[in-house]
Amino acid sequence: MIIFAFVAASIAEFSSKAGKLLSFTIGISYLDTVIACMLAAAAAYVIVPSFALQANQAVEAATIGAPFVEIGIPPIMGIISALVLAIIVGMASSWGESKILSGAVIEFRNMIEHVIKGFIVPAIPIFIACIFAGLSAKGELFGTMSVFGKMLVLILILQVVWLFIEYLVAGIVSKQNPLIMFKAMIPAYLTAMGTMSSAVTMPVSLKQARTVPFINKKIADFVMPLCANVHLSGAAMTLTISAITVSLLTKGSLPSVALIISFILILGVIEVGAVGVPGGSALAAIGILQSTLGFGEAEIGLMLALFMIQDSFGTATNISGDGAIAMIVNRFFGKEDDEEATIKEK
Amino acid sequence: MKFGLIPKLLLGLGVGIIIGFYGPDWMIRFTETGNMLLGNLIKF
Repeated sequence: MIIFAFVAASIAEFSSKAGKLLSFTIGISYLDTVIACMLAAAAAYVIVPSFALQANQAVEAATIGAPFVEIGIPPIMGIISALVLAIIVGMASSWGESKILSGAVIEFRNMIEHVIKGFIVPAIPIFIACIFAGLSAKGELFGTMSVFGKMLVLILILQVVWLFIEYLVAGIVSKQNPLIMFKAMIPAYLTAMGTMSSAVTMPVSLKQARTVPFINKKIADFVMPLCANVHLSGAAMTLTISAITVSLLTKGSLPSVALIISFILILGVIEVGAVGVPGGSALAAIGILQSTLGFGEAEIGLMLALFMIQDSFGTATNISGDGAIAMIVNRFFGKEDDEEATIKEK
Repeated sequence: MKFGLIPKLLLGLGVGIIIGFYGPDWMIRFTETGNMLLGNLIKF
């Protein structure tokens, strides 16, 4: 439901403004997210087995009491069906210029956002308490916590490395000094760390990007708000690393490379529309964690706990990376000659 | 006084660990029920 709501509404909203600049920016953001996840996955495959070994050797889980009641709530449809339906409905509403359908999917997305903000996010600490009560009772807590601590450090290091790579590539492509943009984005990084919200940080990142002399202000006005919604490389990296680690922790083996590649490719699409609420990216990814990696409640709970704890760093990486995307877009669309086209696109 | 999400998460984590270690069996079963219900709802 979350995937359908976010993706269909994003397509309906963006397609109505479709153009070369939009497609290019979204394409670059998707590519950036996928490459970031591939890097994260490669690092996780090499590093995670070394610190997860202790957890594998942990004592056998103790048996605990069963739940008082067992109520299955199967999702309305599978993840791929939801994604394909969202793309079809989003595009059809835009191409057919159906204001009613476009309005309906956007309203549905807003409604789901309210449910996430009003019910799911407040319930997550209770969910985490339930998960960790089970882990402690089974005697699996210490192995899990030790692995989680190391994984958190790995995630934070990789996010910084990825920012460095993003700005290096942006500097090479745009033939401009990436340090100027990077310095300009520091206030946005700190704001994102404090607020954990791309939407709240966006005005800061926009203001800072506009101060960079070689960036066309019209490009900054277009790219920064758009990327605050569609570019979530930091969040996607966290999800990839924690998915691999949790898989090793709970199933005792790493997921196959083919499985992780398909997970990353779908995750990149889902992340495009998964912004607006804290933890939205993790919640939107639950479907593929279930369908692709076969995660159950315990695995998803562990993923949510870890994601929420690092969310401020992830959001800061997402927002700071937008500056690098703006540099690349500016290289191709930022010339004075393109200004008219830029205005038309907008 | 309002708490942010991270303090609430850490509180949830701490309470969960204490219940897991020291809670009676019925309380563990209660948290397992919450785990199952909330997990299913979030996945829905």
